[in-house]
Amino acid sequence: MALRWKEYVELADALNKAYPDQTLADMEDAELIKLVKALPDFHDDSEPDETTLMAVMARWISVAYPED
Amino acid sequence: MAEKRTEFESLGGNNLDGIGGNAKKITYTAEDGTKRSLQIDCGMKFSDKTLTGVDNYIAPLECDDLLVTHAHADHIAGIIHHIQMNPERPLNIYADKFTHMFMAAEMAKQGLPLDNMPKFHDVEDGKKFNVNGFEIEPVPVTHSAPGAIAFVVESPDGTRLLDMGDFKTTPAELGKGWDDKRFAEVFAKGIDVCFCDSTSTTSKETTPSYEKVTKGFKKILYDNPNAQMMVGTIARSAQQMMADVIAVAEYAKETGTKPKTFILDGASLVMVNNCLNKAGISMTKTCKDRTGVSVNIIDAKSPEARNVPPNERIYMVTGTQGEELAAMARTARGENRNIKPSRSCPNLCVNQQAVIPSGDNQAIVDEMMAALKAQGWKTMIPERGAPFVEGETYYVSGHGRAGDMEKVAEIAAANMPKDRQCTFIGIHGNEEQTKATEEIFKAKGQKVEHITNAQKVEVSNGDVKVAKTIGRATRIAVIDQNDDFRDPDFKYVKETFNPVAKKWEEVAEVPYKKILDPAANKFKGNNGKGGRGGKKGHRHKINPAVMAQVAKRSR
Repeated sequence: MALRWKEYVELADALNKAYPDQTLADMEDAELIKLVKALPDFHDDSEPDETTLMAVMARWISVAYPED
Repeated sequence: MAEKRTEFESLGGNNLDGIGGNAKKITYTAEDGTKRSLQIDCGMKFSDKTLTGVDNYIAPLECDDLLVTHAHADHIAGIIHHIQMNPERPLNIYADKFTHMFMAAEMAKQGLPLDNMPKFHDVEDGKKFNVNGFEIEPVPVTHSAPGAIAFVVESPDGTRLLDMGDFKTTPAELGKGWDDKRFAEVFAKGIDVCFCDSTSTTSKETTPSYEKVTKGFKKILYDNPNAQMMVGTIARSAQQMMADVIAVAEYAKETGTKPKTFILDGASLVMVNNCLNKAGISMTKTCKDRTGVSVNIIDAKSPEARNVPPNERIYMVTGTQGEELAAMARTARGENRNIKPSRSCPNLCVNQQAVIPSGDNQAIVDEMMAALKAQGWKTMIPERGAPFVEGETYYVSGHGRAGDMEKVAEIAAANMPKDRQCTFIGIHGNEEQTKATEEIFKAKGQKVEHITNAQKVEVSNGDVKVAKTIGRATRIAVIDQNDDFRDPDFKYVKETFNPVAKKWEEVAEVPYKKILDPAANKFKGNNGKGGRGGKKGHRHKINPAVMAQVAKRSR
């Protein structure tokens, strides 16, 4: 399935699988966009806004720390 | 022709029985009778489900334009529930950038689709903006949550109301905070009614500053120079964490040692750090600017964390009240894969939050701390209400006490225009607390009034009147019928308060749409060793002796 910004839950799962050791506490938006665009299933030409980027980041953090 | 007037109504937060569920509505009525409104905050009030059968109560959301003072649950946690009750509503939220980032992150954590997210508008000190005909001026205040703001709301007829939000009058460690000069400017332009946080006004003196936390935390570092540390904190109350970071930097500078590394264990802390960076108030940069020392803040799962020697680690964790799934309780049960007691150095656990007196909190926290002790952690926890001791106290509240209110009264008295009078009203508290606030202002020669939920304050041509009749306050009971936050099945029930019978009465069930992505929580508490079951806020009983055995095996 093609991943788009809108499906941020699936996108975060894919990021966690692709980059399990990534440091998340201080990741900047530019780095996040780069990692998302490098995902093989990601196909979306639209530009994400700040809220979308925060949603992806928050979901990724939640997946990386499932216990909390 | 109707008379022009501005009305303020506490929709929640001025309760008979405690703090929480804060929400305020401001309505302007023009001469032709047309009305325009906005709301400030939409929070949650905690409920003991074993007694009430209700998970939480949330304040009503009566307007589509919402100003948010800060990121604490008692001011924001109602919003996502209202979106589920009405996903199509065009909700605009005006908040500081950190608060915006935090709310978006929280909503995403719970799986709210992007299409249903509110439209966020970032507000900044010094930049007025217009909402629905009201001119709004955000003014920074200091609170435990970063990015806390007070709002001046000016109606089209020039009536000026000031909602102070949650505040104290000492400087913030992180971002902008309280500034006497800024409030002198605000009062100099005239304020008709000022609404003040009453949480701690029954306590004398002034709430100590975060600088005092730095001193207290630094003493802990001096007393335990070689310890691996685990510090319990509240993630979104990051001012306190910032004070700890400054303490570490100053200690390193004073002793000529390498600064210890902060290792954030848990989604909430990693997320808050990320939100702070995005809001432009990074803790590492703030520390470097203030002390000249670079302190590393990393997350527990990063490979870098494993390379930090134990005696240079300060694990920051959540779960100060013994919450089952949080890192502190999991460490106490020997189930935290990231944090183990070290055998190469002493271990020190500092729970930086006093026990909140509610339900069986005290017993649960006592057991958790005992279990940590049995594993070899030396433990520290502040005593609630203990007097402040310079250089010793390592926890302070974010709410102003009597001394802070006196300062506000003095600033108002010195700066208000001579032809205008400000009326002070206590909000954000129970009857005893709000009345205590009003007594403080009265003693300082200020005019005061008293209101409860659903009792309107009306301002017309500068005259301030409190309605003699009290309306029916409204709240929504939130009941998770599955009793499992991984897969909630909400039931929302609207209730109103009968002021004669003095009790809440059920009105109707409110329908809602299941719009949260169920995939968002599917992994919670059942992946790896963390957590057992998914009862929200549920706490485990811990047998210290058993846990000590678990810890020995896990070393």
